[in-house]
Amino acid sequence: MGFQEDEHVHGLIDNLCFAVTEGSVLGVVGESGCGKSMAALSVMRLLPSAAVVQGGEILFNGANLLAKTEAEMEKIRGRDIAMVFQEPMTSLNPVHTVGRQIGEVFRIHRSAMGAEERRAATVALLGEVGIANPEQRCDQYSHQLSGGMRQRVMIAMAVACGPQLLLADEPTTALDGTIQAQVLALMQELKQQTQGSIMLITHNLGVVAETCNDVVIMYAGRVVESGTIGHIFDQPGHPYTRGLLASIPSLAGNAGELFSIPGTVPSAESFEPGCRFAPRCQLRREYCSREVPPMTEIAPGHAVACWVTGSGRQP
Amino acid sequence: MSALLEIRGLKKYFGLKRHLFQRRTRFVHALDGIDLDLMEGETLGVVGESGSGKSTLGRTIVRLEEPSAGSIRYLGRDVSALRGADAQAFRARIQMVFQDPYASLNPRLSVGHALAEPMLVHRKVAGRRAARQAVGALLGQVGLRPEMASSYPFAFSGGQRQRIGIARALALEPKILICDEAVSALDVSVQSQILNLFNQLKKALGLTYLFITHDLSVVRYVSDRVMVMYLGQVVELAPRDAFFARRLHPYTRALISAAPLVSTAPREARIILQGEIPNAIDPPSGCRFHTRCPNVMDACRRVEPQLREIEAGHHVRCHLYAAGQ
Repeated sequence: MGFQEDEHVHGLIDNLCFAVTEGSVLGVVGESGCGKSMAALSVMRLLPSAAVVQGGEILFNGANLLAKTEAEMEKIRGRDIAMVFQEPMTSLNPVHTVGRQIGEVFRIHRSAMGAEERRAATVALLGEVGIANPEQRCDQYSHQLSGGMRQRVMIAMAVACGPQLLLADEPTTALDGTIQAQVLALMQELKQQTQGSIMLITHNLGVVAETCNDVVIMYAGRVVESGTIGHIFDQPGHPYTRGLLASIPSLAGNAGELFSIPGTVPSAESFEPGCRFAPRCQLRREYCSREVPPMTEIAPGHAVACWVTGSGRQP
Repeated sequence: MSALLEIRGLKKYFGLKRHLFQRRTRFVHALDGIDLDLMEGETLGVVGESGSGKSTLGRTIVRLEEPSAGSIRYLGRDVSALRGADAQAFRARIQMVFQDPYASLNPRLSVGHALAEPMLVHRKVAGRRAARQAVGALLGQVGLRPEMASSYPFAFSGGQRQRIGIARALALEPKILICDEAVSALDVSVQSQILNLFNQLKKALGLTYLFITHDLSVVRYVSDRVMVMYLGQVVELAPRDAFFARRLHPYTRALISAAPLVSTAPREARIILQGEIPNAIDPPSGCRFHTRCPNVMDACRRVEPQLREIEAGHHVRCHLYAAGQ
């Protein structure tokens, strides 16, 4: 996938490849500009108009979402795949009550429901996501709710039809610490109830360690490492993953100076050939910038894209 | 160590617009009686959630806001009494680094211009040539190249922009830097670079920091002392290691417990607080935390606890630690 600018397409996401297993939580981790949000929007087929999908497929229950028509996607969105966005302030409509906005999901996907039934279902849903006085809140507007409550409304809307896959893009980043803990606990609870899968997109490795089963680490539009949380946090294989983990100050205290990866995250216009992390990498070899390193397994279910720490033969 | 800044009974109320038939103006109690000594050479970490008043505290100290009551003394002199040249000199001593390096730089000014302006206004440098040299030195100090002075903010990454924000704060050779969520908007790999830069500058220039953040692991890394705020009040203030080891206030315990750990090791059971931070217009009676406190007692609803020193340097505002217990 890339972005069109005048005549030229800047490639961003390159050969992205991962799977969400049924009933589990996949964490997609990366820094700003690595393409993690674009990956989620591709699944929803909600990419901005300048984005161009250049190839590949997204299989949902075996069917390629990229080949679906817009009408078919409209049936899937909200019913089978739903999304929770980062900014609950900007993703709710300020001129409609929250009850009406949640009810809209039922109006579209459960058209057999009558108005009263719809309202009852909405109130029940608000109660389920932990909103006190759901009956009252249902008739309020988004500006009357706090940030945490708005995010709960967004989650209610997303889980209204019991989707098989929930995409959550930085769902707790805008929230305070104690409220983040509440919302993460709620998502876990709902997942247990519905047996659905979650793809959690975040830059916060702490959130990943506590809520996910599997992790994909992205850097500059490519997956650089994938595995279970045990693999990623206890035996990280890619130099980028190792650097990331070492640069987070610990709540238990740090001795001496904090590690930091030199340089900054490249933008899509300035990607280097070969390994895109090479310019910042401590293990860099001369051949790293010659060819793109493929994902190779270093343990069952644990793969890295690195010429040095991976198991592939050097170019 | 002596106190560089002495804050006593500091209050900041924001008046709300009155309705036509409303008798009295209602106030947001952003700061309600803050007593604090900022010691020379220390880093004081200020933690709190939104609405705790931590940003208002920083803004009131640099006098972006006028206090409603209380006093701020810098090296023993009341800063609200300063006028003219004295007031200007005081402003140069305390500078601020903001959260959003995108919003706090003027997109139409080259970086060199943005850095030279405060020095020219405060007559730190005489003339353009001296300013250019000083700008080059400043950029070098924060890890940028002097020739970057001719570029505009859009040409820089987030981390570089925050370095420019720091360079601008350093331009007037301040004693105190107030960093308001200064690393919160940065990517993890860049955040650690900036944190290390803050530590290096502190050593090289003998700075004192008031480091405002919501991130407890960042606080643990940079601070000498930690202060927790809740609804405009200080609820706990202690030396860093004692703070993290003892966690006396129930709110502190919940706050630390809510922080996700970057580890797969089993963790202690999480304390999940019920409800949200109450409105600062009508703060709860008695202890302001009683509506969410897992250890709430009868007295907490009626009597407001005072900030008391429980152990050497460890202050807590909680009835659990009332005298004699």
